[in-house]
Amino acid sequence: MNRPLTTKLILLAVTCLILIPGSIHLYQHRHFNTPIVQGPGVTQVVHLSHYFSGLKGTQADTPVFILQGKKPGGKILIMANTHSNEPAGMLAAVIFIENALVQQGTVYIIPVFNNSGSRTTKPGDGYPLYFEIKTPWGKRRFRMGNRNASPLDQWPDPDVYIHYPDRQLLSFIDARNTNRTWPGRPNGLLMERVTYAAMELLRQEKVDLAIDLHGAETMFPVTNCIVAPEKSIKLATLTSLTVKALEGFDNHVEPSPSKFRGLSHREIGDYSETLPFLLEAPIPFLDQPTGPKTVELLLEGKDPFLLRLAKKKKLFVPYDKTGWPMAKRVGQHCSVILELIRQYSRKNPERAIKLTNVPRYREVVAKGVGYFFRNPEKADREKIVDI
Amino acid sequence: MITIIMIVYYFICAYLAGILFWSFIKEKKSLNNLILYLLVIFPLILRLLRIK
Repeated sequence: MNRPLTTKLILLAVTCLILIPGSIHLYQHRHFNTPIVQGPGVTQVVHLSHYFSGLKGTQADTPVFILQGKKPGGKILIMANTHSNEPAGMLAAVIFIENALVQQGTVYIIPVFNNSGSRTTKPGDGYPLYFEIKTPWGKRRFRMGNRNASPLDQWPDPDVYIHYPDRQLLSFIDARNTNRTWPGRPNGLLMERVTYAAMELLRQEKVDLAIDLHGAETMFPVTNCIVAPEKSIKLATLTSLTVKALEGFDNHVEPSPSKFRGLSHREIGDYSETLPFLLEAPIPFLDQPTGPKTVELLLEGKDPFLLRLAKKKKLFVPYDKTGWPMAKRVGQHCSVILELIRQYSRKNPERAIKLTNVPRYREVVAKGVGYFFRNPEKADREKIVDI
Repeated sequence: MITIIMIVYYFICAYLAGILFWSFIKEKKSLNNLILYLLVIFPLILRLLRIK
C-alpha cells in the first residue's frame, strides 16, 4: 500500500460521509415529537412514572391523559402504541384526547404506551420513519415506530426471555415487547417496569376496563377481533354482535389463551380486578408478502400481492382493491371502544362511564381521521403536550 | 442488575471500538483490512453515541 496515511484519511473521510448523514435521520427520529392538543375533556395530564417512580427520567416514561367527568362513575384505561408499528390505535387515542367530553366516570388514555419503541425503527425492513395524516388545516406528522423497545433503552437482550412471574420461556426479543412483559415487576427490565407502572395505575385507580389497541396482519388469524379472557368475554361478545348489527363491520371475539403468558389481555385480568380487552384491526403493512413498506401502504393498505392472496382465500379478512385504509381501522377502534363502554355501563349503572363527541366508524370513514384532529398552532401553548 | 450489565456492555463496546481503531492505525499493508476495520466499527460507534 503506497502512502498509507493518505489512504487512511480518505477512508476515514468516506466513513464519516456515510456515517453522519445516515445517523442524523435516526437521531432526529428518536427525538421527534408530535404536539397533541388537550381537548376540552382533558382534566389532567400526568406521566406513567406518577404511578411508579422507577420510570422517571427514562425514555420509557410516557404521558397519561385523564378525562374526568363531573359525576363519579366507572373508569377505563385506553392504551395505544403498545406496538408502535401498529399506529391506528394511537390515532384513535388522539381522537379521544382531542374531542371526548366525559360526563360520568374517568377515562385514562396512554397514546404511546411503548414510548421507547416508538422512537426506533425496524432494522432490515425498510420502514418509513414518519407518516402524515391530512387534516383540514394541513398535515400532521407522526413517528412510525417499531414493535419492540429501542435497544438504546434496554440492552443487552437475554438469550431467552424468562417471563415473570410464570417463568415461561419466550423469544429473546420479547424482553423488549410490552405485550409480553405483563404484569411486570418494579425491579425488572425497563419494559417490565412499564407494564408494572400500568398495573399500578389499574390497581391504584381501581380501573374497571382496560383496552389495549393493536393491529394485526391480514394473514394472521387473530385479526379484526376483540381478544378477551374468560372474565371479559361476555362483554366482548355483546360488543362484537352490536357493532356488526348496527355499524356493519365484523369484529369477532377471540378467547385469550390461558397458557400463553405476558399478554395484556391475560395478565391484566389475572393480576387485577380490571376487565381487559385487546382490539386488533387489520394492518396489511405488516404482512410479509407485500411490496415495499411505504407510507402509502401503511395508510391505504392496498397491495397487489395481498389482492392475489385474497382471491386464493389466504387472508383472514375481506380484502379487495380498496385495501384496508387507515380510516376504517381507526373508525373500528373508536366504535368498539365506545360500544364496550356502553355495554359495561348498561350492565353496571353504578359504575357507568358516559362520554360524547367521539366519532364512530361511519363518521371516521366518511370524513377521514384528520378531520377530528385539532390544530396545535391555534391552541393555547399550555394545552399542548408532546407525544 | 440489568443497568450494571448494560454499562458493562458499553465498556465492552468501547474496548472493541478502541482495538479496531488502533488496528486501523497500525495497519500498513492491506487495504482490505482497513476497509473491514471501518465496517466493523460502524455499529459500535452508533451504539456508543446512542444513535442506534
